[in-house]
Amino acid sequence: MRKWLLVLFIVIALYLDSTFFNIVNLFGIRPDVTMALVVSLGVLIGGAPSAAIGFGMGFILDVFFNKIVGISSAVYMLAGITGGLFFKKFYADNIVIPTVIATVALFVKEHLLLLCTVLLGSSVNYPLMLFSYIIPSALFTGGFCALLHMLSKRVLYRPLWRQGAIKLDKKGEK
Amino acid sequence: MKKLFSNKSVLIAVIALVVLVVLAFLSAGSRTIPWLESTIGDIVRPIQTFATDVSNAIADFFADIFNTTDTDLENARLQQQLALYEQTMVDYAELKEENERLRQLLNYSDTFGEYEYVTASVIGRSNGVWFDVITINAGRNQGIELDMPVICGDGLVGKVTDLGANWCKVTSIIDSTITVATMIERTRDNCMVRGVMSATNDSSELELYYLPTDLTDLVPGDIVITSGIGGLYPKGLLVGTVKEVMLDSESSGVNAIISTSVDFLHLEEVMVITDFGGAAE
Repeated sequence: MRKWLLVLFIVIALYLDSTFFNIVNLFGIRPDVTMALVVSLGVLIGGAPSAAIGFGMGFILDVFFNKIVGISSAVYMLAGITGGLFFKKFYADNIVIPTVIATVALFVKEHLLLLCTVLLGSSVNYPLMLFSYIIPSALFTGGFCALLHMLSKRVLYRPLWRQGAIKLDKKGEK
Repeated sequence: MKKLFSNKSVLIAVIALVVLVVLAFLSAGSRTIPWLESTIGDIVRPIQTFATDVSNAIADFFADIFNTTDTDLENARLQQQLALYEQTMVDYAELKEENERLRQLLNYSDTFGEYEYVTASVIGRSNGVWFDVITINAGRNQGIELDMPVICGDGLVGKVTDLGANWCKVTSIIDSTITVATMIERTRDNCMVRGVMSATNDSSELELYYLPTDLTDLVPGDIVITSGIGGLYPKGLLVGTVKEVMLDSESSGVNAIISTSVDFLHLEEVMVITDFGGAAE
């Protein structure tokens, strides 16, 4: 039953990313909710499932909203795998790891998109974009990931564990 | 390395990455969307339409709050009595605005009577600042094809760059990867405009360049329209007005900054011109 919560989280994240934060944002600076969720899930439930979730969410966003299909899917998948590297290795309460991963992953994602725009013929003022958009967005996403991780840990992690959706061995029980 | 690739998950991830990178290259230009993407889009479309409506309602709600100046508590009782009336007025205003937008759209289309067009609603917009792409709820089944020009009541919006069965993606003219052949309405000088990369996603400016004549002819307030050169856009569509003439255009290559006539942040209905006679084959 609690698996539906995971689905609900995914749907809400897609809604926030695709629609809500396009309308409500801070001078264009907005958190990447999908990134935050995928990284958080990577740390909580492991690399493979979160990479699959990241791939799926990224693909939907790419297909329906983005100009280039594949970039978001690839980055979200890699973010899930990276988050999964820390699965069972640290306390699930640790919010520093997902925060740092989400910040760095968004930094990388925005640079990939910047590279794509340059390859497609845009002229980009890199210092301006770096300091007024990329870094604030990455930090915003990192902060959002910290909050989301605390929430998802409480809402998703323990119930999923209890019902057996997540296999944790003794070593993994923190 | 061999050990790394013996891990099934890593192998699948690497294969997926390669596929995605290839897909990214293939999808960078205009294209007809494959059936899988089109189907995914069809599934997401009604959900997205609903989500957009909800978001607009939330945004309108907060906009109403911030725009309210009369917050005097003494009026609370009267405000309660007027709540129902206000709700009626909100509904009325909403309908009136919609009516106005559609009327504007109709009037605009009347000025180009020879065009055939399909009306559609905006149901999504790309996130981030790198690209400016909107998703609309009309596609191949409604007679839309790639590269068809898209307009709204205020002027040129962009062109269709990705095409699904019942939806399509429109790259707007403020996207920095799009150029439009234009002319100055007053002087009839041909030029090009291109989107400006901005750190915020509320940019409504274009760069005007390749203006061959003396810049003294160009003044702020001049109207910029499509020139029809290239056959991609019909001639005479409103693009914007000159906001600032650049004096050092030789170094930057930019002759002027243009304010778009379209408010891209509040775009709700658009028209896709499916036939305008001079369309490029």
